[in-house]
Amino acid sequence: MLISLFRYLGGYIKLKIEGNAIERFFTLCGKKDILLWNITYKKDYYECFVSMRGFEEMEAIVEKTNTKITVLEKCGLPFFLHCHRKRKVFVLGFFLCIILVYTLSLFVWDIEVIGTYSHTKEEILKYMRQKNILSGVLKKDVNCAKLEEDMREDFDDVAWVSCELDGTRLTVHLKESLQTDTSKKEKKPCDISARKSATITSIVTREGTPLVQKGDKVKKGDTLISGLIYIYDDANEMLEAGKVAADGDVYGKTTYEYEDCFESSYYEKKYTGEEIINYTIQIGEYHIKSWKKMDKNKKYDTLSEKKQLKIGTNLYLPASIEKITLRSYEQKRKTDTKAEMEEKAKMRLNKFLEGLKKKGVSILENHVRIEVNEGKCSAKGKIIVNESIAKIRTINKSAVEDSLKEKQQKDSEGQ
Amino acid sequence: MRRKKQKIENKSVPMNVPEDIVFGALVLLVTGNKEAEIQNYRGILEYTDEVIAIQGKKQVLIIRGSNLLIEYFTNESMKVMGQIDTIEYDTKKMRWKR
Repeated sequence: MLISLFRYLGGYIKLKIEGNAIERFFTLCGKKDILLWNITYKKDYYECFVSMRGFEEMEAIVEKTNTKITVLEKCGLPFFLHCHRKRKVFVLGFFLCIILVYTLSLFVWDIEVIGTYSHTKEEILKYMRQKNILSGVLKKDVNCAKLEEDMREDFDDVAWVSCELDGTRLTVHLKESLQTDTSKKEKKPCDISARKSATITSIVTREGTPLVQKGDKVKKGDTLISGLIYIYDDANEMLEAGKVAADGDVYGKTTYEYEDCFESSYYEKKYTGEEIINYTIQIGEYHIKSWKKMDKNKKYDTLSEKKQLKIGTNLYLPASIEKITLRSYEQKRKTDTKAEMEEKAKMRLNKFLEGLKKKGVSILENHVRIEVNEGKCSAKGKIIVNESIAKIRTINKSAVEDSLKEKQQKDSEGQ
Repeated sequence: MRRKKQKIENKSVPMNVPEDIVFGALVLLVTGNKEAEIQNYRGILEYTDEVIAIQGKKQVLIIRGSNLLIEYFTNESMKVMGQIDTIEYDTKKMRWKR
């Protein structure tokens, strides 16, 4: 396989050999280190293959042995190129193709978000668009480390985030949780900060310097456990400062505002079973649509499935095919009684509480009141919960120093 | 001179020296009856699709068969493909005649 590739690249010739002393011709070729292959006997003459260089060296032997040589076929890349040397457009197209593939591979064409739970993919993408990261942006302009840091900062309930560029695809792995995810520990030095304003109910420090105590009131963004460790000697003078990845559990009492409002009458959808399927091809910003007409008097639900085209597994192209399904439905107006509305409001509230519990929050107090009047139902109130408020953040040096100074002042005053 | 050479030839076997290096003996690697790789030869004496005669230093190697073909041919080695029936040595006639 490899040998035939080298032969193709170097170019070779199929020869027809006639004469009286052909065996001598072969022997002399061997002595001159000319490789002959596939030598076949054809009664009156012989056929064999020889490399382009071997053919040039052969001339002397041909004269010496008085044989007659005819070139039957020229194979290989040099002959192919020579043959097509006038096809400028072909060569141009070939190079253009290479350049095109190369330039297309310089951009991010697809952004994937994995692990979202309460945030939607669209929400994350919209956020990234604000940060100027969208499909079609240059790969070198995407700073994964900075994006990770920003997302951790701006999304309260994102405990862990990792961005990676793989081919032309940007993958964002999220871990949404109210708990600081200790299973995915940061290896770099970091602080643990408050995710929201709260009153601390318990703090357990595994690594780092704790800056708050039980019962303290903290604001959003305050440092709870610092990643800086100061070591003091007996005279209370600082010996050295080290950086660690702060680790620990911090729980606090926080408040959720709950508000829900709905009317007694509403519309109910009833699907008729009629479906219209359309396909759209999207290239860059251009759309090509196949449009089956829909009845203007009817109402439709739109359902779309999008599939992005790609080469291999990683090279995503700026083109996609979309399948749009339209389902028609009929509207029906319904009105609830007072009891039904109360029941509904309770169900909604329970669903919200269930959602909180799933995140690992324990509910302490529930002050939600449900009121029904004039065909309207409203539920309003505060829910007080105990939850983890820890969040990983890069080390904030000034916060630690401030709090340590305060501490020292307090100590000296005490003395 | 000839006697001296004879002496070395006889001794070479106990000394475990490969004959092909000392005396330039033909080396054959035959795989089944379809392939034969030959080394240490001087040249080709005859080549048709039924007979291939190869000149060694001391003997002539004759391969008989049908549909014989030389896959490659260089100064060091060559490979014969096809249906091989017999492989014989001719030491008496140093000069091969058709």
